[in-house]
Amino acid sequence: MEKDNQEIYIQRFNFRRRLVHWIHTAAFFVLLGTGIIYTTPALSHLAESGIPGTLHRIFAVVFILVPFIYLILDPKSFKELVKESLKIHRNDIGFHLRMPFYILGRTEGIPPQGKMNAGHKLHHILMGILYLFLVISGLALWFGVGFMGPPMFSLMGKTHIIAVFVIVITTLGHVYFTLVYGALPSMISGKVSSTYLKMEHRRWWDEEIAPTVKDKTSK
Amino acid sequence: MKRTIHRRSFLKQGIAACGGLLLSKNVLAEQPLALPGQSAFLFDSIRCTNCGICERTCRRVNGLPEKHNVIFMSQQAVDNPVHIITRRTCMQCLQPACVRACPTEATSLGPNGLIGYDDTKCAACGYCVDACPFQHPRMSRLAYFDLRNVWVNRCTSCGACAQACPESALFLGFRNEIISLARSRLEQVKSRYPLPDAQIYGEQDLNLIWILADHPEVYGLPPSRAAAMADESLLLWKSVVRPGILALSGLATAVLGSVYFFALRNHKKELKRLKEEGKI
Repeated sequence: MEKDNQEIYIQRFNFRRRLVHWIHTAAFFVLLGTGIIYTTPALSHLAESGIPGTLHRIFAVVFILVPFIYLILDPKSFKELVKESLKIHRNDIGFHLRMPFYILGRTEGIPPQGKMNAGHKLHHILMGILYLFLVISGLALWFGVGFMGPPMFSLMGKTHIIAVFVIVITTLGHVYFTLVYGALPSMISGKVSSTYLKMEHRRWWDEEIAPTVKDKTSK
Repeated sequence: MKRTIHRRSFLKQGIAACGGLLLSKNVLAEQPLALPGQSAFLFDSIRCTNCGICERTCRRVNGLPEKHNVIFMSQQAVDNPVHIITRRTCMQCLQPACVRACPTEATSLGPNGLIGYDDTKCAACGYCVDACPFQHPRMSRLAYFDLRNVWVNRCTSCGACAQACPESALFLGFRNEIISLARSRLEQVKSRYPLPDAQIYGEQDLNLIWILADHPEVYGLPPSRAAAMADESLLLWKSVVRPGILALSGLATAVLGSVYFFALRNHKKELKRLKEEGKI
């Protein structure tokens, strides 16, 4: 915890968690970029070299390994992430109901959120489900060549592209809110300001952070 | 007698009729798929002696790598008066699923309506391998890690095999002429041999027209329309879902990109107000 005049900075993400986040991000965007080359007719000539296909497969392995890397590097944080993501609070409904206002940059009326807001929870749950769909269909398209036949091939192709669409929309929302609410520095330095917490994670601030801040300042 | 139709039953029947029309597989099948200048191959399995000249010619003309081939001939003795001779190669589908599946247009339809293959464009994704209802293309398992040294045994429709056939069992010509030839040959076959089940295969959906001595299953051939069904199963993915998803993703990015500036302004205003009010 650091004090900067009236602003207090709280450690939210440790180095290992940030590292896993950025490995995941890098793998995701390389996969998306090389995948777009394959699916967009105007860009498909770039796939002729075979390099995008090879990169797609290399980074697919990284993407598949991400949860395992996280589990090995920081098992405590991994368990906490899963637990927190699945812990649904009644305030989460209010968060989603106020989503149109949140998209427009207005947080007023959103019920106080915990360490993980309802959007994060939905994002993590979707990532878990989509991970399974993407990995199964992706591995089938990779290693199933010559074994699938037209119906299975078509099913796997459709599953892969629809899962990519959902993950793109989810990620688009994630990046958008990060940029609107200035949350990017916290995933770089790992620290968040008290102003940000009071605005975005009021319940966490009130229940867990504020008492410790008061304790420390009173000492 | 006046017959009345209730609105509810009219709507029900209307919806059922529209659904039936949309779901009918014949909607696509009845489209005129063969172009006026469409070429086709004829394979007369009864006249073929399985001499192997077509296989060797293909290998020599196309400079195929060692131990690889595009045409695989086989012969089996059965109770019929003729042997069953099978030609495993590109079946030249009228609705080629491989062309729809190929992301780089390495597999495409040539001006003569036959399927062409350009190995310099091939990205070795293997999509054509699984899209093919006849399991024609085969690919090296190590292709992904061997960037440009990819081998996919695809027919380029060069026609060298047809030109080399010494038994006139293989022809390349205009589709309508090939079908006329197949029909007249079938009549000859039926008049010469006791082959009651001799038939033409591929007339509806292929540009490789076969003259068979027996039912297609004896040759290991799938039922008619297998090729069209494979292509239709890819239609939704490649021609509806894919462009739809690309358009929706682009639209969502554009909308959020435009809203971003308003949202950022609103957020800054709210931040300032809450600070002034001492709430944060």
